[in-house]
Amino acid sequence: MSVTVETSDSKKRRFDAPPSPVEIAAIPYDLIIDILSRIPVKSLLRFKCVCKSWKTLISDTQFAKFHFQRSITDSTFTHHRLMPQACFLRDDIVSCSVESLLNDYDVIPESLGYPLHPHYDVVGYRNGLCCLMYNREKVRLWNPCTKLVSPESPSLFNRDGPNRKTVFGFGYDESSNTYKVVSFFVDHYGKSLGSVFSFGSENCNWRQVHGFPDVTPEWGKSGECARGTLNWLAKAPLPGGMRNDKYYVIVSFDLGNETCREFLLPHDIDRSCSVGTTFGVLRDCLCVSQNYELTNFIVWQMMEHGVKESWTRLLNISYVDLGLKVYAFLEPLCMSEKGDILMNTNIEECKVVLYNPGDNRLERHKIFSKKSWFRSKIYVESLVSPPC
Amino acid sequence: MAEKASESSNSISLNTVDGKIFKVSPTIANQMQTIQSLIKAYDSSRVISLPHVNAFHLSKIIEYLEGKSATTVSAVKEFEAQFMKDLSLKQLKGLLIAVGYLKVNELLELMPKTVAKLIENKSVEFLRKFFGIVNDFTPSEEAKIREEIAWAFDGVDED
Repeated sequence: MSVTVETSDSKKRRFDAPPSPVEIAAIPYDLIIDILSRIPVKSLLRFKCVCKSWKTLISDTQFAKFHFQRSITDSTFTHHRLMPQACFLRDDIVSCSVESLLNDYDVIPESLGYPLHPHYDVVGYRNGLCCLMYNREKVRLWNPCTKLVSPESPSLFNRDGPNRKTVFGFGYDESSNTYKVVSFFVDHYGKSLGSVFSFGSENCNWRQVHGFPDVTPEWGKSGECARGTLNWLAKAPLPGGMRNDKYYVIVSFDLGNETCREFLLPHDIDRSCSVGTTFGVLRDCLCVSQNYELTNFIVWQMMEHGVKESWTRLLNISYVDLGLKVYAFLEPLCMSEKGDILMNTNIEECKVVLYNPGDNRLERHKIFSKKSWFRSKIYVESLVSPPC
Repeated sequence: MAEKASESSNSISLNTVDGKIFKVSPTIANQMQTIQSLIKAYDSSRVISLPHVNAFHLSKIIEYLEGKSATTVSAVKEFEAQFMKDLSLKQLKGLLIAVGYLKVNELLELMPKTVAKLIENKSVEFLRKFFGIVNDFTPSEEAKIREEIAWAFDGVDED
């Protein structure tokens, strides 16, 4: 009996015949794809020069998706970077490696060679794309790794022109493969107004969307993206309270069906708006954190999106134990495989700290930068092209 | 190490491309999908010939499958680092082809990962040589791509 197999050059060959060494040759194509899917974006761009088929592969949108999925789930955080959360860019954006921070090296940020007009503001990051906004009315997408930029959106017109109190959010709707920017604000009469801009859609304009609750979003922070939704912290009037009595809720906008929901904060948190409360996303779950009774810093995580019973205490850090001042600000950014948590902070000269829950220890990081460093966001590098 | 194998009668004989016979236990053989399907097709007394795999590659694969008994994450990492240590790029390439051909699932994650780390900062010329790829661009086509992404050529390792 003889067995035949397809060899790399597609000729049938009998198994029993010993092949000549010359025939031991090429690495199979599926292994090449596997290797390339683990390579950083900058190197992949260079590798487009290797040959035509590599150029086609590296330019392919399906490969870009595969590569990004690999990158975002990589437990060593090789392709993750810290980027500015929101700032006027002035002349450049700097970023630094999350892998270096997790491994406790001192980090020197790198310039990303920002190509645009300096007065853009960052709305958010998704799939390796950065959403930039000009004058609170026009948006565009930029991939800092490939340096490609989308055209600018039309202007978001409100009755009163650009409104300082408008909050924005940037997200990706998987069901329609669309990047969306959402704006949300409350007018003088207390009515909420929401608009959506979809990149690359035929109707290239901002559309009004209804159903936003009449609550006042916390100004100055973009919506947080989790499980296909954009989420903001907002102040709602306290039922039966005085006019100025407000409490915090979460407004959650579904990027797929464009509907809005309101979530309550954990039952054991101080919901009044007098206490410093921060809001973010960790492992695709919403998180709120609070300086609790001036002694502890507590982080709650909403394990099941939209289910208020699923709020779980993730961290409880004593300020006293760690020798921190009670007004220290901490905001979780990401969690390593070992459970260490990287957090934004304002303590001493640090911009980020690494908290080790096992040892109850804070590693302070210094980021050496001449440029001003703001609060950070996690960004994952990708080959994804901004839509035209 | 090469001929280390169980003496049990149901061990499987593998003949590498450079003519060395390896006897391996069914447990080890079954972790190579290609062999697993060949065992079903062959009668058990038959020696299975392996193209693309030489004695060095096969002994490394057996070393990995026999040695990978660690249970903790850090112990596995330690073992894998030790396993990959001192392998030249040429040996890695041969091992990668062998692993791909034999479909050793246990190594199909580690091998591409290791190779990716080693080549990520290399030059285009190095990559062509390593993967045995012929440049099919005209000089002007290649120059155009290089010009478009000139900044991606900063910080390349020496070959």
